[in-house]
Amino acid sequence: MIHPDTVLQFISPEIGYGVFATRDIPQGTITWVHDPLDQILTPEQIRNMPGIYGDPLARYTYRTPEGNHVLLWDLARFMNHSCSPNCMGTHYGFEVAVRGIPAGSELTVDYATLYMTPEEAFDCYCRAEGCRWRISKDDAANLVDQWAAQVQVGLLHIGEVDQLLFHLLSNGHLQRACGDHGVPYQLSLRRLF
Amino acid sequence: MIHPDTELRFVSPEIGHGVFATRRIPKGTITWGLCHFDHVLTPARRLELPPAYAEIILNYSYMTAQGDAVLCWDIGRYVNHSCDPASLSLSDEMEVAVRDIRPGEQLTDDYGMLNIVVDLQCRCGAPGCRGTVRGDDVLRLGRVWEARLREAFALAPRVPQPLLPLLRNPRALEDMLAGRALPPSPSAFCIPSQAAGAGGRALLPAVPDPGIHPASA
Repeated sequence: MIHPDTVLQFISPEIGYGVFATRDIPQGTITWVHDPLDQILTPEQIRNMPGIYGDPLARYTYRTPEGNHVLLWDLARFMNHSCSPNCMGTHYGFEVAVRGIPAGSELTVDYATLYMTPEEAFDCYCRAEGCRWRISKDDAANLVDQWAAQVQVGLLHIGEVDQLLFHLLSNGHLQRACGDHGVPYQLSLRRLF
Repeated sequence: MIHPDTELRFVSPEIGHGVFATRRIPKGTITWGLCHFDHVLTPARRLELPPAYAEIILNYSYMTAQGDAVLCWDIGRYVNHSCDPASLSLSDEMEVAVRDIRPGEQLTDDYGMLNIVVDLQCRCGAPGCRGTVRGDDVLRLGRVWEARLREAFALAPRVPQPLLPLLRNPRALEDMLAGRALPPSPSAFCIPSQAAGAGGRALLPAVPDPGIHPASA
């Protein structure tokens, strides 16, 4: 589920819609949590769909390491790519704001973190600082350390801000994410309890 | 899945969003049909969900005759009620335009056909607004709905049906379009007792809030 302080906005015919903050979302805020209404579509389920489903599947789903497609049930599926994203995913079904997201600005992620296939490479026009112009599966090899550092910064602030989605986190997932990124778990909890 | 010639628009803080035609949609067109992406939430599945989801399901899903809650995956979940709707339920898996829908016009349906579990106050302002949409409206309106559906569906074989290849169960529509089957009577899928036996607490809020329900339009 996407953070409640967000709204869907039309951007342009080329880009379509995006997700925008309705209030300031501070660094360290959990901006999205995988929830029970998000659909996990197995390769077998997808094979049983008519070919016409290829377009919405490519547009609205992302891939898991196991090869399933995930169709998010809410407006989180409209989050666009940026080469300088303000949200980063963890391996534990949630995303964290890696810097402050001012009201009115767009929530973005880096699609190269989403287990793309080679065929899913695309040209990027985000022109954010450090825009890679071409986004592909191979980006992960170069960027994995940088991504981990960004997630770490987000996790370091997790206990300092209101967490409206905390109730949706699965047991132990925050603890394990903190462990992976060398963030003391107690630190992350200091305002939550 | 909702008809492709539609878009989501914000209506007002009181009503929220609605679904609007971007091009003319002729009478007899299937405007919504159950697709492979829609959520069909059985009573057992609803009981597994955290309590916070009860309100989401109440606001955005409809009930089938079998007691499953259908949550549209797309903007179909924002279709508002009208007492003079542009579409009516053809079955519990499809809706059909019962008049020509102009570009810019809102797609609406009749929540009285959707097995609602709480009665809804309606301020749609349409001529003949019923004031309250009830779970047993089929007892009073079933014949009117059936006549309008028959008349509209007679045009269905002659208008484009872009949703046909996307339906989860295309055979039902193919049979009706080819004249091998008749559209079901509304009494076959609108169950007046539904409100009482909705199949689980997951759909019943402690205090229904008509102010935030799309049907409060």
